[in-house]
Amino acid sequence: MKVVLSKDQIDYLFAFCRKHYVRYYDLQIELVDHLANAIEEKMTANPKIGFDRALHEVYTAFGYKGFAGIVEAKTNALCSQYSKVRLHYLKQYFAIPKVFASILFLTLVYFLEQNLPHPTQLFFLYTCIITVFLHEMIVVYKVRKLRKQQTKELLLTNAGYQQFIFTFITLQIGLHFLLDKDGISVSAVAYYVFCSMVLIIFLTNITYYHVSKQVFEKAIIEYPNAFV
Amino acid sequence: MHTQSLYKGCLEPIILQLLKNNDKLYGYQITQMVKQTSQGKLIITEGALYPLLHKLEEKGLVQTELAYVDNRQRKYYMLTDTGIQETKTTLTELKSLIETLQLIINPSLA
Repeated sequence: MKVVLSKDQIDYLFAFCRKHYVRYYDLQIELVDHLANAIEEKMTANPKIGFDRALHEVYTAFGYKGFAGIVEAKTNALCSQYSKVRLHYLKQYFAIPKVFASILFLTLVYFLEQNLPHPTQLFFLYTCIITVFLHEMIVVYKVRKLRKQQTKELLLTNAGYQQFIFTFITLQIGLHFLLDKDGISVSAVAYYVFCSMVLIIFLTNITYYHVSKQVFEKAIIEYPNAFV
Repeated sequence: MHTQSLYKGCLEPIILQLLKNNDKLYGYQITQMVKQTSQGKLIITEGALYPLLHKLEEKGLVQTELAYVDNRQRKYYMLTDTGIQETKTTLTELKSLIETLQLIINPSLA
C-alpha cells in the first residue's frame, strides 16, 4: 500500500526547507512536493526505513549544494523574465499609440528650449528632477503597500523588487556635469540629453509599477496561502 | 560514466518531448519517467531538472498550475503553444544531429 505523508510531516518538510535557506514559499512548495514524493516512494518500498532516514537519503541526492543551486537558478530565471517584460512595456512608449505621449513631452521640451532664457531652462530641469523624484516615491510606496499584503515571502514577487534608487542624486550629479562654466547655462545638446534621460527614468518607473502590480495579481491567484 | 555527460545536452528536448506526450507533469514524475523510459540509463538529478524547468518557464515554453494533492500543493508543468512549436523544432534538430553523428561514426553510411 502506498505511503502518504501526513500533514504534520509535510509541515516538517516546509520547516526543513526553511532551515536549509529556502525562504521563499513558492519554491518551498515545489521542493516539499519533490521531497514528499521521494520519501513516500522509499517508505512504500521499505516500510522499515522511517521518515527521518528516508528524508536524509532524499536530501543527500540533491548533492553537496543542497537546494542552493535550485534557488539561484530560479532567481536568475525570474530576474531575466522580469527584465524582458519591463523592456517590452518600456518599448510600447516608443511605439504607436503610446509614443504620442512621449512625442508630446519632447515637443514641450523643444518649445521650452526655444523660448525660455537659460536661467529659466535650469529651473525647468530642476522641476523635472523633483517631479521624477516624487513620482518614484509614489511608485515605491505603492509597491511596498502591495508587498505588505503578503504573509509569506514569494520569489515571484521578490525577484523583481527594487529598493529606492537614488534618482534624485543621480540626476542632480548628471545635471551638474552638463552645466556650462557659468553654472546656470545648459547647452542645447545637454538640455535635450538630460530631458531624454528624465523621460526614460519616468517611463521606467511607470513600467516597474505596472509589472509589479501584474506580478502581485498573479501571485494572489497562484499562491493564496501566502496572502492569508 | 561518459553516458551521463553525453545526455546532458539533450535534457531540454527530452523534457519537452515528455511534456508533449503528457497533458501535464510534476517535477518528481519527470525524473521517474526519464529513468523508466531510458531503462535506468539516464537519471536526471534534481539539481539539473528544476533549473531547466524554470528556464523553460522563463522562455515561455512551459506554464504551470498548482493543485492540492496528498496533503500538499503540487506544481504541474505543461507546454504552452510556443512550447509545442519549439518541441517540434528541437526534435527535428536532434534527429539531424543523430544522423550527422551516425555519418561520423559509420562513414560507410555516407
